[in-house]
Amino acid sequence: MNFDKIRRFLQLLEEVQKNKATDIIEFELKETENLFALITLGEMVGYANPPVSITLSLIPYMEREVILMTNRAVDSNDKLSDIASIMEVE
Amino acid sequence: MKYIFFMGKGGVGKSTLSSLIAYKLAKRGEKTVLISLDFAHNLGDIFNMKIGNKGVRLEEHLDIFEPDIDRWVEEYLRNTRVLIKENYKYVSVFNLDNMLNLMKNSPGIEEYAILHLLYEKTKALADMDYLVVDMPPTALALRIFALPFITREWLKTLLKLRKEILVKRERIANVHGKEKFDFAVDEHEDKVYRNLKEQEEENAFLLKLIQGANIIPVTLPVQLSFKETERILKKLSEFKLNVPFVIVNRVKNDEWKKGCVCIEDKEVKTFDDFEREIKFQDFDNIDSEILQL
Ligand SMILES: Nc1ncnc2c1ncn2[C@@H]1O[C@H](COP(=O)(O)OP(=O)(O)OP(=O)(O)O)[C@@H](O)[C@H]1O
Ligand SMILES: [Mg+2]
Repeated sequence: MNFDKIRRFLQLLEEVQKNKATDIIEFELKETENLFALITLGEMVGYANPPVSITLSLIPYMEREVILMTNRAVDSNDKLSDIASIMEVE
Repeated sequence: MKYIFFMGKGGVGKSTLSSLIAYKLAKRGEKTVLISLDFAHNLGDIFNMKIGNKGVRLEEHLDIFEPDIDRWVEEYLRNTRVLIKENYKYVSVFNLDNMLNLMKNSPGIEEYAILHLLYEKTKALADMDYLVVDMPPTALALRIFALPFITREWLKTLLKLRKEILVKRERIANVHGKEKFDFAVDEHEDKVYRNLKEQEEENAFLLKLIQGANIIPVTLPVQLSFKETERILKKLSEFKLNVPFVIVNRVKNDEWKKGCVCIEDKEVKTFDDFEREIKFQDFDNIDSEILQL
């Protein structure tokens, strides 16, 4: 295999990695922006938080989210991944 | 079934008038339910009997209910706790008790309790002709009417977000193998998604009920009460709710106003007095007016 081919292969690999990385970031960004909009502009649709009835009805089925939320509170330094973890971004 | 809600400032005559109208509809042979959604029930005082949660059948066609709203909230929170206990594997329900206790006083819980009681009663009494509702005083009544509209928007957003999450999970599960993950990936499996769907169904029912109902503001012939009625009308029209007319209650003969449904101020002690004494000056009978709605 010649050196050129190897280099092109490596370039391609890097390209893919980069895309993958930006895909994830773009995704996180989008989710975070949504969340941000919801939290800050929620008032415009009536309440800053969903009506308590929605929350109460959901709680019994949201153990996973409750855990995510508590973990976040414990070891929170990276805000973006905190929010991402609330939104369950893997 | 047709729905008629009486609302207005404290003490304007909501309970008296909703009782009277329900009674008259029932006398005409319409199967009628009268329900108080006010915390401070006073239908019992008007009919001079104990009514309560289970309700009372008065005459052949009139059923009256005074559901205990606080008790319902407490029961609901207890049930939620039981469900949490059943469903949670890692988090102990004790850790959530503080939060559940706080939620008893959360703004919005009363509105929901009242709407849910209305939902249950309406479902259970689907074959009746009329449901006449004695609403709590204005501020709470308006929040009750607003809640299904707000809830609709939130559920739309949350369902969309949840769907996105499920799609992402599915993708990840497809790459790494489903066995590795203990979360649901499709809409039927995911209890959160299913719960949101159930909520959407109940909310859609309530929205339809409210949008199809006739809401009758009651006012006294005094400036303060008129001002409040103006605000009520403005708010209700923002939500495009039906207001067929306003009742001006306790009008003295000399301040008679045409164009409104007015009710004279009468010396009344008992419901029977009331039934006998009350005359509607604009219409022979307000119940025949209501029958045309
Ligand atoms: N047209 C009328 N003539 C004479 N008395 C009236 C009339 N309408 C109502 N009342 C009296 O006014 C008082 C208040 O009426 P009612 O309890 O129906 O008001 P309400 O709007 O239900 O009050 P609350 O907000 O406290 O529930 C009662 O004592 C009732 O008998
Ligand atoms: Mg009353």
